[in-house]
Amino acid sequence: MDSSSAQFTRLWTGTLPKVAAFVGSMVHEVSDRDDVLQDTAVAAMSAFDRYDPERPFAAWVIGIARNQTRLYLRRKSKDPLLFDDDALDNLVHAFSEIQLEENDRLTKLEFCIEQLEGRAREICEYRYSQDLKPAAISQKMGLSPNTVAKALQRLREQLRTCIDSSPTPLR
Amino acid sequence: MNLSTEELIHRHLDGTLSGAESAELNSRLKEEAGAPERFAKMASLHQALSDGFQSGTLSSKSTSNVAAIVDSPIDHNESFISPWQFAAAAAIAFAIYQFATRPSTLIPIDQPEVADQELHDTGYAVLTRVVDAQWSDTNTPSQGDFLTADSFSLESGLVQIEFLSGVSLVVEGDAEFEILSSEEMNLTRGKLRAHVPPHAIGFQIHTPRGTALDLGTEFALDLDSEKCELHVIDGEVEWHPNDDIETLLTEGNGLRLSDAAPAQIPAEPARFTSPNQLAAQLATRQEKRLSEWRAQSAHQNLVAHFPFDQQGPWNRQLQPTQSNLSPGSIVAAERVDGRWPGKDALDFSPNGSRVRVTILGEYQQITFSTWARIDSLDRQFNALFLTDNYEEGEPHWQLTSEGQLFFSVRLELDNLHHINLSPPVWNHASSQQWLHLVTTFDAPSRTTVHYLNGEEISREQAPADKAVPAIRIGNAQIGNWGLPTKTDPEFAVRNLNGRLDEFAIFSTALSPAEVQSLYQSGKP
Repeated sequence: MDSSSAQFTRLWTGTLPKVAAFVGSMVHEVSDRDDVLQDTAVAAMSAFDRYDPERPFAAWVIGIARNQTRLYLRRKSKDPLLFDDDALDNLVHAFSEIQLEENDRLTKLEFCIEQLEGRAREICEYRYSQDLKPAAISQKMGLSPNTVAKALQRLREQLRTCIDSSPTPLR
Repeated sequence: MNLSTEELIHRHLDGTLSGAESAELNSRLKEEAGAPERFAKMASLHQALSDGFQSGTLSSKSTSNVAAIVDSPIDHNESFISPWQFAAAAAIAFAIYQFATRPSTLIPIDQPEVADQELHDTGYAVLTRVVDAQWSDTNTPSQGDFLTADSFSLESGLVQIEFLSGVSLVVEGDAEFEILSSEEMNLTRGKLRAHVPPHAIGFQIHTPRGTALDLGTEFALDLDSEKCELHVIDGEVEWHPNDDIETLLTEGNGLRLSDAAPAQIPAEPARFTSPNQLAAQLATRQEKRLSEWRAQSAHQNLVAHFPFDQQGPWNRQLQPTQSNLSPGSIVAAERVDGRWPGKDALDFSPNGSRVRVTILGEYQQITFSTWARIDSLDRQFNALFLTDNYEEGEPHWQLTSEGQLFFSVRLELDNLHHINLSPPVWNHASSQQWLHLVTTFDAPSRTTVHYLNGEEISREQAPADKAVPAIRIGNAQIGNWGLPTKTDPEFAVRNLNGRLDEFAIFSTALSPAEVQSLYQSGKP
């Protein structure tokens, strides 16, 4: 690997969680997200000699991810991105500014999930372990779609509070 | 609209927002301070949950893990293996692989795990027309071949590629490109012209400087290390630079990208070969090849030669060039196009198809040669040339269902024959190709040699107890075998499901050089 590839690899690996979070919030299927991430890695690598090291790498590469997401959705004839250029500009900025500690905090997820009570825990598993959409979960559990939507919001907020509030809960 | 921004964000992540609600979220992301940051934060959590559960790191039923985690004073950075780290490693390995090895596969082809009975093809596009193509590396596809995810280096000539999605391309050498799927490809050097019909809108061509996305219908690219030019001939194309916002280009306009700033240029369709121009070039070439073939002098040592190139009505007779030979009788087989437009062939797929011939004499050596375009080999044996019966000294030349050439000569009654099989010369993927098939036999040395397209593919000597004193033909048939008898109308089905164009029998075993020259003089 030459030094430029090594440098790219280091930067990309450090940024990947942000890029993945961005892409994952733009496409709804996991397989689509992974395909876009691959496309982004290839496009970013081929454009890397034009990357200006004075600029933040995260903003640059999330910008590429945004273009690649759009290209991918077009190619697959899927619904286009829901946001316009100005909203996307703000999001690219926000994702690129996510603090590095975030990654550390998210490692507490396993602990925090254990804190969820029965039904929330079940909904969480349906949603993320089985990748079910709220409509499917509501059918399985005999709940209204609105109840499931609210439960998902509540459990994510609970998890958010749990991982943000106890900086060192495991020590 | 009474949903809070938080509600909108969560519902967006779950994919349940209506169009109006998405529009509302879009405006709040622009107008509400802190909204993008809250979106990004929640999306990170969403992502971590999704990855954690999918990779099994956040095991669903493992309540016992809590104690273990709480008890161990661990450094998260070292011992918690984030699913992202897996993803990162995989994506990086992939990107580097893409870069380091040009023949690469961006999108893996799904292989069904269980082989079923249905025939499957593998490919994203078909190479439909070829004019003087020279390929520079080991990847040298022929006309009619399926193209799968692969890299191609066309040194010179013109090719037309039709994607299964409906996109049609003309590529001009010197060019280097890679097919990624039915919807996208890479172009690293050369010129191409793409026609994208409405059902294939979204077709993308990636270049080192960015991606051209077609919104229908026709555009061209001219690419070298200095610059990349995009010409919109008809319809609209979006140009997506790798690291910038896209531009929309319309009919008659173009873009020139180099190390300098991007420049608008007028589209110049005349610089790029169109499919019609390619077809015209191909027709001229074929006419020339046909007249060259017609003008060549007769080969030596021909016992029978049927060129399948007769002027006027055929009257169901196949004329030989030998005056001492009676014409063959065409049964059921139909006259169709041969190797070139304006040149005939016979299609043996109709039931009972054959050409009946009579060839007298005894031979110590023999060569069979034909051009065949085979649709399928669905019989156990598929006839090329078989004598009516199968008596002592009579040769049988056919194809097995596996695509092997099968040559045998009948010995005396209680010593059937020695079978000489070639490696397969045909498979389903070559069904649009004219193949030159040759088999030579030398009785004294008991040696059979099979050839495909001028190249020797197998050579075999029969054991001494399978020696053939002499070869005889008598009444025989091209393209089938078996006749009903007076009392029994039943006969074996061996007619060839395909067409033959030109059939020759020589009284010598042609040398490899002679077979090669026969192939060169007759190839389309």
